[in-house]
Amino acid sequence: MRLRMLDVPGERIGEILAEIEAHVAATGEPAREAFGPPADYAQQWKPSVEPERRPARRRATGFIGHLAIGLGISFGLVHAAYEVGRGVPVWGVSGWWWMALGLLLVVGSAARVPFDPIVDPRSGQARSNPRRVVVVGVAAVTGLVLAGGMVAVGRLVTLGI
Amino acid sequence: MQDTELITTWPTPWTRASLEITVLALVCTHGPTHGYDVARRLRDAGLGEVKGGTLYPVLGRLAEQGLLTSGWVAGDGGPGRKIVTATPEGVAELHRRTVQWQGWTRRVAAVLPTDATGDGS
Repeated sequence: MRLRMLDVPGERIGEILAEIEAHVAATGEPAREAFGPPADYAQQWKPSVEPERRPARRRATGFIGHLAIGLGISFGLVHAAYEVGRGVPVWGVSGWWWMALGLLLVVGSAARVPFDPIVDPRSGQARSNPRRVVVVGVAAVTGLVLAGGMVAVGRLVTLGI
Repeated sequence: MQDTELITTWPTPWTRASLEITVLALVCTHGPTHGYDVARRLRDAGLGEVKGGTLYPVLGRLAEQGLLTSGWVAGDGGPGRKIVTATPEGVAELHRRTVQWQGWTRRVAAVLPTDATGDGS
């Protein structure tokens, strides 16, 4: 985590972790004793050159754009869930279809986020699959929120509120 | 002061300053080798105990400068080991730095008093 925060590339992180594992296995020395506290050790790998970033204005514009799209989709999803709970179609189409479309957009956006996987140099395999974790997590959270919202609206409608 | 006492009490700035060139020299002389072998050789040379947390970033910096290359070989049921080898640029750089280092230590020695004893050698 600390290495990620220091902008160390995933491939390099994989190499650093493998070095520690190999050293500990060969010497029997506890990792903390050989390498010190993880945060201090990570600091030693801080890149000497800051990675190139987009200009601040472009980053801000991109952030605002993504925020607006995210809010729009969220509003659409909540609205669709509300109408499903009430049993009313949205623009002549069942709210279920709008929710499916919104969910697809949310999961599709999560899947397009660029990831820099931590690769174990000995096997060439990623240590974890962050893309899958994020996509499944986003889909699960969105689904749960929508389901909860629909149940709540359904209850309110039943109670005539 | 005894030699052994001196060996365990080298001032940290000295070991830091000399670590990169000594690690490069050991890899050039004994490579292909691996990190803990380099640490053992540093200790056997009387340069003190160099922990993995100090040594591996040095190896990493040398590799970043193109002076070393590395690759992984499978271990016997273990997690494998990283083998480092000096590049031709590393060998040339070692020669250049050795000339500089020896020039520097000669100048330092010329300034120091000549009647001191217990030089640790």
